Amino acid sequence: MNDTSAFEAFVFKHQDRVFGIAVRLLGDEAEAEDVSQTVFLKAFERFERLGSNPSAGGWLRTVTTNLCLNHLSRYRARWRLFSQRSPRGTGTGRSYEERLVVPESQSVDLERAGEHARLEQGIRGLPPHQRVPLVLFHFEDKSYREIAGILGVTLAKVKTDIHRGRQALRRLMEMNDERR
Amino acid sequence: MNGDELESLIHRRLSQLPPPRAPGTFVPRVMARVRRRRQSPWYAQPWIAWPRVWQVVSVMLLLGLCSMAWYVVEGARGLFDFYGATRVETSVIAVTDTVAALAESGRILRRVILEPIAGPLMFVMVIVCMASALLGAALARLLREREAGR
Repeated sequence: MNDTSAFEAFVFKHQDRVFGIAVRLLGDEAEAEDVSQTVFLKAFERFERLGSNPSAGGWLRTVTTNLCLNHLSRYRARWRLFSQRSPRGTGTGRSYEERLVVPESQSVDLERAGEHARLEQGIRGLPPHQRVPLVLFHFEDKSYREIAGILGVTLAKVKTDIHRGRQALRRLMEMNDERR
Repeated sequence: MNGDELESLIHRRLSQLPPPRAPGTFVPRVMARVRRRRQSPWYAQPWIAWPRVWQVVSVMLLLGLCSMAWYVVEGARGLFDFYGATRVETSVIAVTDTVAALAESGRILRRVILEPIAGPLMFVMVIVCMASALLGAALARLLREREAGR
């Protein structure tokens, strides 16, 4: 197996893990795909050392998280602009619940996709300052203190933002339960 | 529901979520970028991907440049010591004299040319600022309405 085909197998093996972290942190599939591709290009540059290394998964996880946070901080000024224009920080002028209510035709598709898809959609619909710490806590197993360090914010802000994110997700789950 | 209960409820539900799947076109796209990068010349690639020889050469070159900068600074210091501080003081006085003369000319020009038109100029600037603010507000409103309409 030459270098390229070995690397292709490596990408195939880890693509879901990398893309999953990126899409949950960024809340946007196109941006997540861009960042994930960059992660794998970086992996390719180090493939000689990384290919057979058992800690490759951890390396990919760390690099993906860092690149996503860099990507988000680059657009932080834009978030602020949007959050000034919209009280929920989304820029659409609609509330979190309103944005999650989809038209009837799509709703049928989502019914098929199930509750998981709606919850996943709910995570992506959270404003970035709630989504990022929430994802780091629940999916990346980071502590509140670690998250505060990574994001450069206070511990209290991390706790408040995660709590608000959880409340929003709970409202979404209640909406799902009522719909059944 | 208190904070701890909410945390464990959300954690339970989120840990049941399957990881999002990468799009089917993901691997071919990554491989296309990898191939493009491989075809580009070594110097257009990131430093970490350069041939080992060139990595070593570049590090040595960088060290050489740093040493050269160090020698230049040390040389300048030696020249300063050689000529003595008095010469430098004389040049500093000459420079401050020139700056003072230029400042005086500027003051005269301001009194003769700028002051008579300062009032109207200020008025025009205020009008332009207000017009820009109004235009900005109108554009922002238009953008908001367009986004709300989507």
